[in-house]
Amino acid sequence: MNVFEILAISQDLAGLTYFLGTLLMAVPIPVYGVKKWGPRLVIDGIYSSVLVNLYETLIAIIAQLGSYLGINWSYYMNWLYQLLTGELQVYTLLRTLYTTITSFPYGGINPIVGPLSLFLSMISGFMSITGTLIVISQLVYNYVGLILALGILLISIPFRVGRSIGGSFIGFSIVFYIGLPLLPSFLSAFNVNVLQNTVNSADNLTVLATQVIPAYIEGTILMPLVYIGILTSLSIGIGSAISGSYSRLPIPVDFL
Amino acid sequence: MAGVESFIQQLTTQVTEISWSVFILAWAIGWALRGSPIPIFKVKRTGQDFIEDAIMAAFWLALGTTVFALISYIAGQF
Repeated sequence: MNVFEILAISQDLAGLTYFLGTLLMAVPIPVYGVKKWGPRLVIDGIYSSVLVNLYETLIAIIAQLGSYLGINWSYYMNWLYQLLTGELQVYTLLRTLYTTITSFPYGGINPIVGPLSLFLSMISGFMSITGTLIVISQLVYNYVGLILALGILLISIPFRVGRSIGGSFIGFSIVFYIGLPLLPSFLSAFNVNVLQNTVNSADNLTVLATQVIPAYIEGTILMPLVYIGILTSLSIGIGSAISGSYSRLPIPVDFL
Repeated sequence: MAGVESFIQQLTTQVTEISWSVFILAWAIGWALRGSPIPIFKVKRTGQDFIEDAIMAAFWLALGTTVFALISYIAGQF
């Protein structure tokens, strides 16, 4: 779908909203509930039209702000895939240990099998969270312009039908495009970046249980979740400021 | 996409035409109520409100038609 086609439709909808407003202003029905929509729709039409014409400016502002903050999407995507590779390595190691232990006669009753199974399912959870982060990041990186244009389109619909969700789309695209690539820096600031932590050689179970797994819990679940929470709050704030009403995220990010 | 766009444009044109007609109607009704020999202040006040609203609507209609036509013209140049 072409972004500029969406913007053209948004501009037409803005015009429709505006002229519906003038129609309601002129209508000779002395009912406040009907008349109040007149000026409201006129203002909405002008506002939507301004937003449509600000699209390129908004994109330029996002890029400029991102460059001031030093975002680097290719580094971030690379970081995410390295994180996934690291998790996969730990998973493979644990799976090898598990298979080795259970291959012996009566290996299944070995007391180490229980914790190993637990660690295996934990690492699977870490990998699925990193996978979700990759999907969200790819979505934001590849479709930031489309999400922004869809937000403007939704805001342009007459009678404020899509105003709230439109504002959310715009807030989400701005905040997540700038904020997501700063996740590695955020983790490094709290010294929980798994890829930068120097964990001793993870070739024995004690190191895995006492260093690797806790580091992954902190660096791939807790702190990223806190960071996504901060981004979500900012998105909702910007969405509310743009739409002038209650706002919520267009996609669920509470993936735990 | 072009179908949706032309539909909305057509709808906007119709709404604009109706708005101008309603403006004339509201203005006429307003003056009719205001000038009517009915000694009830509320009726005359309603007539006055109709006239004011109609004039405001006509102002925004004229302004909007010009501005939106200008935007379409400028956007069409690129």
